[in-house]
Amino acid sequence: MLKKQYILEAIIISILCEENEKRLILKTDRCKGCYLCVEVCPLKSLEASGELNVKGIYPPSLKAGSKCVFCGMCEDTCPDFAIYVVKVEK
Amino acid sequence: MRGIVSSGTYVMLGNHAIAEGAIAAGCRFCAGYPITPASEIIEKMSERLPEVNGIFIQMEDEIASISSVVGASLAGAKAMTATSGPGFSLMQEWISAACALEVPLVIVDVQRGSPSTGQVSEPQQGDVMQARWGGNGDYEVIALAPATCQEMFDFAIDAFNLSEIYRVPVIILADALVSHMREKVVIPKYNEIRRKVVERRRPDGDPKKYIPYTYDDPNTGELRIPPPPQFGTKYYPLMTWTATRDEMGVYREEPEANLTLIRRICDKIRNNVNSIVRLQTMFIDDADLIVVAYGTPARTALRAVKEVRAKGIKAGFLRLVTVWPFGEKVVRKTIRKAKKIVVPEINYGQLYWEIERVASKEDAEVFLVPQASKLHEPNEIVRKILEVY
Amino acid sequence: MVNLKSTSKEEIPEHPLLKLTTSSKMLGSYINFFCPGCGYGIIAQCINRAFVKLKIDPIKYPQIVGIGCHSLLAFLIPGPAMMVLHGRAIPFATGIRLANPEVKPIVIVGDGDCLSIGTNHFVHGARRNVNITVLLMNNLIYGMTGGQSSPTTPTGSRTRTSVYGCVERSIDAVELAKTCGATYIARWTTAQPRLLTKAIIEAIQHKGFSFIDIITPCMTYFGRFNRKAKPADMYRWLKSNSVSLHHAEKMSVEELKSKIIIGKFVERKDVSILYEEYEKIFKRAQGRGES
Repeated sequence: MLKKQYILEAIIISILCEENEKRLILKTDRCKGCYLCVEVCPLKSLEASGELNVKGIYPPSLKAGSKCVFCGMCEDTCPDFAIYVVKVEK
Repeated sequence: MRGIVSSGTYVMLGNHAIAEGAIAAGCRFCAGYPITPASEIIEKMSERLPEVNGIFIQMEDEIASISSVVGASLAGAKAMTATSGPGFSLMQEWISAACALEVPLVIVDVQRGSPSTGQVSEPQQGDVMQARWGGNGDYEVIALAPATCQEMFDFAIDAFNLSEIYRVPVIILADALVSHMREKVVIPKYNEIRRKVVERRRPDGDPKKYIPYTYDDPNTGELRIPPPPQFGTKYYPLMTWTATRDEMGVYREEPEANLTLIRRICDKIRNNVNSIVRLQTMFIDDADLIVVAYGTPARTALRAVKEVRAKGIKAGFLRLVTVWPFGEKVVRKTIRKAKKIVVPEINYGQLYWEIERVASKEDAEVFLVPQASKLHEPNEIVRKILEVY
Repeated sequence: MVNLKSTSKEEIPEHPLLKLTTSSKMLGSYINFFCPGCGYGIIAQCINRAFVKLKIDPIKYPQIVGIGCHSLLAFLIPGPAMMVLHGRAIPFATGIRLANPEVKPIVIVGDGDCLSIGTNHFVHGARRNVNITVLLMNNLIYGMTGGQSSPTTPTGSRTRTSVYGCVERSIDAVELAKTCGATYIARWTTAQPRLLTKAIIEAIQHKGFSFIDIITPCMTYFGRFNRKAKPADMYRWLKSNSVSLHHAEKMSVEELKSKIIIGKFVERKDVSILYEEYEKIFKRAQGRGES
């Protein structure tokens, strides 16, 4: 099998925005810092946060005072399956 | 309308006989590129395969032919291709890959005047070493050398059987003489042939427990050859590649895994040399000089041996039906009593080196009778025997 | 804004497409070898989404992958995925398709695989209209071997083997496919992921040789050598230089010089696929049906 150190499972997960049942989730340790989601967000609501993740980069987070409409553009553009929108059944 | 087996007695072209043999053995996919002297094989396949719901496709070059043959074999069909020396050189990358992936297939190499373009309609035995060592890396193939048109039919069935049993590419080393000759060919009845044919094994049981490649039995340590995986079924590993894998198909980076793979694909042939290798011998018991031949020169060599026997020389005859794997032990046992070996080959010495390696262990001297682009005449071999006896 | 550190699985479900990938099925987790911002991760999501929307069994649609950076996509697509020799994926898929007509291979090739060593096979595969789907991962460079020029590198670009600028004209895969007679041709970039997903769905459903030219950014080699090192720079370059087919028809040749024309170019349903022609031959050879 592949060596254990290649497999990096996310242990820190951020919920970037939460409204009714919809959530914008970022698996912080999967992010590689390409900032394509920051570029693509139609409301320009994302920016690089101030905390490093385990790979040594600053993952994105919601800007203060901005909102997320859960359009899913960041989910479609993320190459790492790291940021995505889910609907949670309550 | 002819069926799968066109039973009867014919005066048939060697190339047509091999096509009939392939269809009788169950071949249902053939891809090829025209090249003299092998074009008649693919022409006959294009005529006969649709009669048995098989597909023949003329691809754009030899590399595409062998690619599609490997793909078809992994999709569950018995598949073959036919070419000559220059096309065989182009196929070497895929032969190495097919041995690593353990794909059963048959390649007919109708050898012609070489090197390079050579003389296209003349026989030569120029690809003998290439069949064994042509591709990159370590692997083992099986190669058969027919000498008559009847053997072109019979060896086609044998080649498909060996490829299914050992999951290895089998190469039929014919030459331009036997392929363009017409001789009597007897094709037996359908039931007789079907009894001899080994069918493609299909995997069954729990897909999670299926092991797709040759593995070492955990209890006895022997090598086990499982049925090949098949596209379109649950029995295909989730991810495979032509790179080094273990028996489940997972990529391996450590050097030990590569040595394990090489050991498995080579030992499955080397451990079974006794079942695979076939020889024909005559006048061996009291022979001081043995003529060792394979392919069409074997016919001339037998005639030469009978001639010198009539003159009182104690000569013997050994014919290698299976050229690769080289049956070192059984050849050494056969030539033990002889002190001189004569090897007629239609090349400048290829299998000669293997025979010399084995004969020198028995302190015998080996003499080559080279030739190019034509079959030896019996008096050439007789002259050499009289010279060295 | 809510920033929670939580590991409760009920409140935080996994990415909806991750369970389809081979890395998840084989290793139980996510694994990725690509550089930050590489477009192949985006294309993997599009392929997975297409499989989900079509509700097809991946066993009947094996993915045949060539050799190159794109071969590592084999971890991120629903299996079974097989990596074959460089440039020979299309005839390999032809062999599978003709021997077992229930299986439709999806061929994932790179620009070196398809348009350099394998151009011959591409031409004949399109000409035969064999029923496979070819997705060309066109990152304009040879990524895995370190950044050498490829047949699709734009003229004048710097690469490791064209240090003074590429002097050859680049090949246009869509024009080549049109000449060879492919029956579904489209080109998209990774700046339009939703349209790309729709195109992949159409290509898989299409009966015949379907071909999509996908332009993706390689920022580690092409970007760095040509002053577009950040993923966002290359994304902006792709988005601003993409021109839809509809608009390109009204533009002049100089205006189109450095543009990428995207859209669906050809969709033909009147050409029969290779296996259907063989079925007609079976009938003729076995003496029943039309002569």
